[in-house]
Amino acid sequence: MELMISKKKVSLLLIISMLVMILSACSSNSNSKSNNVDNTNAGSKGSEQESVPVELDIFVNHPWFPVKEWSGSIPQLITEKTGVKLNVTVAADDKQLPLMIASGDLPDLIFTSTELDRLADSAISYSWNELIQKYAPDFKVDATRIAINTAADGNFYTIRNNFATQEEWDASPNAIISPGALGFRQDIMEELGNPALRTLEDLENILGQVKAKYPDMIPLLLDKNWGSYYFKYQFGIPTVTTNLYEQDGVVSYFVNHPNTLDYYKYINRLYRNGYITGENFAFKDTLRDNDYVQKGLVFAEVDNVNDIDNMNSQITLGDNYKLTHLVNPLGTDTKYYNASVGWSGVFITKENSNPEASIKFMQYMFSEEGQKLGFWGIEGKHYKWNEEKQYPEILYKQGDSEYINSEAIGFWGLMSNSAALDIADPNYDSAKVKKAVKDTMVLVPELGLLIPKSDSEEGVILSKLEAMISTEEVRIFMANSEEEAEKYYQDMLAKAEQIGLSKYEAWLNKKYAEVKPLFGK
Amino acid sequence: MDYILRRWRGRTLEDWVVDSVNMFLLLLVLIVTLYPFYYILIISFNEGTDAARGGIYFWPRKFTLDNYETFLNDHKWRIGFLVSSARTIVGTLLGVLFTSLVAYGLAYKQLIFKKVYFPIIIVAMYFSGGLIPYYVVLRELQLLNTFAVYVIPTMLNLFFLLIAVSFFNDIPDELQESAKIDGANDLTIFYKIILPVSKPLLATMSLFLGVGQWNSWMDSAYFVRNENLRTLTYRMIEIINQSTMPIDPVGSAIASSMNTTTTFSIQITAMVVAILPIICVYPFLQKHFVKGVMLGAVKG
Amino acid sequence: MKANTGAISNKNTKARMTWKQFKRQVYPQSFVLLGVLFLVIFSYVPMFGIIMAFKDYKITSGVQGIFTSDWVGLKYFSEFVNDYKFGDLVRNTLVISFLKIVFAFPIPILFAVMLNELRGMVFKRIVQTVSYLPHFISWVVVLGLAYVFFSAQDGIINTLLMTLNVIDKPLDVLTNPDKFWGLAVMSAIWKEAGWWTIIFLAAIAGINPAMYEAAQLDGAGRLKRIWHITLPGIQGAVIVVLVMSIGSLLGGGLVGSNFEQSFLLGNSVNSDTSEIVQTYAFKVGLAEGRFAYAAAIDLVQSVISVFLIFTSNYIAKKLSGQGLF
Repeated sequence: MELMISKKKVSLLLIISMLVMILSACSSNSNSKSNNVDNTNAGSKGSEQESVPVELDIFVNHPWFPVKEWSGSIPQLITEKTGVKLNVTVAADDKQLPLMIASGDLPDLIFTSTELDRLADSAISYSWNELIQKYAPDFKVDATRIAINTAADGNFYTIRNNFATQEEWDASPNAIISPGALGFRQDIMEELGNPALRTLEDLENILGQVKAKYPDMIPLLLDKNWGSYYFKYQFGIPTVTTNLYEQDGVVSYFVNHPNTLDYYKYINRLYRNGYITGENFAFKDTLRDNDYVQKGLVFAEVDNVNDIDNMNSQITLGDNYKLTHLVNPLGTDTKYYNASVGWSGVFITKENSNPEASIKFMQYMFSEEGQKLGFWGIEGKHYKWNEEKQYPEILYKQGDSEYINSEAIGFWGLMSNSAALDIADPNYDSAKVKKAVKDTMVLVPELGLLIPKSDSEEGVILSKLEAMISTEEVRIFMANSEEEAEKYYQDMLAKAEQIGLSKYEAWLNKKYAEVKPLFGK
Repeated sequence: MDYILRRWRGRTLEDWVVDSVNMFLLLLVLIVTLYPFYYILIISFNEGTDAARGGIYFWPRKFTLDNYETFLNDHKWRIGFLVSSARTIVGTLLGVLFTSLVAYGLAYKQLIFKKVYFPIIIVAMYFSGGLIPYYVVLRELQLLNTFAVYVIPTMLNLFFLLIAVSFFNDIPDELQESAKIDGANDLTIFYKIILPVSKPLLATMSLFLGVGQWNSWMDSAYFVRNENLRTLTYRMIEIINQSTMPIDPVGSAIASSMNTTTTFSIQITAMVVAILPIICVYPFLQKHFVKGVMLGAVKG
Repeated sequence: MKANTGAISNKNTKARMTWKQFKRQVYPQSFVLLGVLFLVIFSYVPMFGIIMAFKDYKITSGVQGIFTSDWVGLKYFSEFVNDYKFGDLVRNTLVISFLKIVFAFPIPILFAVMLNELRGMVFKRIVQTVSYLPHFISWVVVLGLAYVFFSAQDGIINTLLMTLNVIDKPLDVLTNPDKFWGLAVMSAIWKEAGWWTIIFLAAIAGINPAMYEAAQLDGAGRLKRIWHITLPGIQGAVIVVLVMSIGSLLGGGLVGSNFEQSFLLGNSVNSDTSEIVQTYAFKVGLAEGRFAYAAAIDLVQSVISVFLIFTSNYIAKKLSGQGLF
């Protein structure tokens, strides 16, 4: 950058840059789909066979969402069917959405799993019941879904995805959930003589043998989240979809569950014996563990069952380095408490330029045809229904993320999919794992509704409890003796009390009484 | 005897010791700072799945240009490059000129109200109303979703304002006095005398402000909706985000089942693409950090 | 830099004198006032948001909500102070920042001097260019690199040191709470020192070379010349940067954000020493969209920062005659 000495040259440059700015400002304004209320050029009525599709801005509040634009054969087909085209913006961080809410500059649609209670507010969004009544009276939503998405004012502002009623689960026997799983090196197991792995004690013994025979390997590696989810499940402690359990009509937080101390002591024992490394507890994200597996340094890994499959597909060291799934559970009391009331939902904001097209769009996405298109893809192109084994057989290469992302297979289905649509490919061992866990599933959606509002007193207590436990737990895991572990556990309970555990539990039970009738309990 | 020992090739013994120690330490620094960067570079040229195996230290094991192709073929990245370049040039120019101008005023030796101005600046440096009010101000000024939002609010850099004041204070008064005698007004003095003499300062400011502009992605995220106005680093953050998982368990199970994550290699490559232009520009500014620049400015 | 005097007891005459002076320096004054106007628009007007710290603000009430929400006085402040981690948080924040000033602040100065003394132009340019490269590596990638180099399992450094038999157990830098402060300071130096050197190099470039020649003729050796000419020559820049660093003490000052570093390099295992005010406030505040709570924490930091700046500026002026302002 050469420095301008003469005043004239500098002024000239300033003028030019001003012009550039003004020009680009003008052009960007006319190009942009402005979100001001008085912009009506996109308000054209959207009916099924419009030649010009209605454009709606959608903000996807999932930073990991890899699809950043509305392109590919699936979105194209959706546009044909609904007359709607989406302008996609994916969140770059978690401050964007609260900023939008506070400033009032909202896009047409918001797809999010957070800020749900804030968005379910008549000041921010249109209620779906109102829109259905006005524009789409044939959009039928089952009573359970309405119940679990109803806000305090009696309306519902979204229908969250990934939920299924008991009937839906029963109707789709091959539908599964994706739980935590244990994968191990088959070749090493064989060298140890293929010992039985049916209980938690078996696991401890085998890890001991591995450590003795292969001192350079990590006997057991835990994924940051799924490590704890898996073992809690083995101990029958509620996890993944809820940290609450109900006993004799009283709802409590998991820290007081009868098996919780045993779980902590078990993990602590594994650490003290050197089966789990200290560094393991320091992992900040759920992908850190992949590196170690890829390098062949690990005997057994606990992670989400799909992650193990993904890791296997990426191993380049050789087939014997792949992890074999352990299909049977290890605990004696395993129960998978499914309190899921849905995960993420689409909101139609008050700034929406075309509520009619929006609700009709959602109606299509929730229809069976729309769900399958969004979640599985185009029949014949992306999958074909295998009648014999009752599952959708994919026609592209498993794990080909480039193809999957460019065609947007599955992602737009996340707006509305029923959980019963998640059907595993029975040719993979992981399907057996998923099915085994699903067979221990108990549906408790009423517990899933016991979520306090983020700025309420209970909400603050909960977030502090969670922050405290995630730190103090590690102290228990890394204690130097069983007595010390127990002591740290008692300390943690005391701290929980100090933060306000009793207040939180009192609120839980109050809300539980209100919510029970919705499920006929 | 003394004389022979003290000088060899024009340098004293002290010189030799100082130079050798200096070079050795700086060589260590070089290795420590260069190697991690070099490592990043070779990983970016290596196949992703192979890189995950580890063990690559000095040269790519499975060379590939695939990682880079991903970005260079993507039109969003090309647009991002243009946007970032434009804002860097315009924003730096505006920032350097405006900040220096205000600093020149503040450095004026007999300035009255000085005791008022400086606290105003300091308080503005440390107190902030937060993101929401700032957003509202930008909205009222109609700056949202325009190119201007990248370059106008950044025109005054308070940190460099104070540094520039300190630099200007060190400029000998004679320079300004003689120009005043010749009848020049303050604006002319600013352009014709102060700026040319402050080349090291201006080069530094240009570099820091330029890099600040180039690396900016948050304003692109919060204050802009138009996808054609996104910066390059915003795109980089998008890629890095793709390798994160949702925090909630259900979400992460879903994300796992869709196998969406990008490898460390892609993240690194995105970063290299975002950094490269800066590294290319820097050598041109470097010559201003050589001593003796002042020499030509002081009149005999 | 001396402020204007001009004391005449009569108020009217004083006002007229001031106006006359103002007119004489109208150019510099207008330059400054342009800057003040800019600050009013972009810094002072948004400051109305600070009252959020004392209000029960919910984002669903929009911007008006900042004004219409109920006052809750010092509720957030007492919530924060009574948190069981409060003592640790404050201690960690202060210790890390203090260590950074003591160890990390002198390094860019030293480095600039060393570079300046180098004879070979090529080597000098290479080292200088390479030294600031880490500045551009985002902390997220630094975290990844930290594992590559320091992982107890197969980190490059650990493998190297073990093979050379320098150590027999791998370093547990990433997890040991006792090592976090060292890790934070060292990584901050590695990342930012080269970048801040640039400012000091520019300052050194401004020193009149004639002074060196004169000193050499007087018989001063290399080290003496550095001590008596180079260092005093950049005194102005050093003081400016030092005072501002102290002012940013809570935020990490010169060598960059404490927040990102603690957020990324901190983990459940070393959190006793890595969790700082900002990261904790983020986790229980901003992450939940509790802007008001976050505003309260920010306010405390701002007040302390301004206090520190005025104090250190005063001390600098008393000790050296020069200050930030």
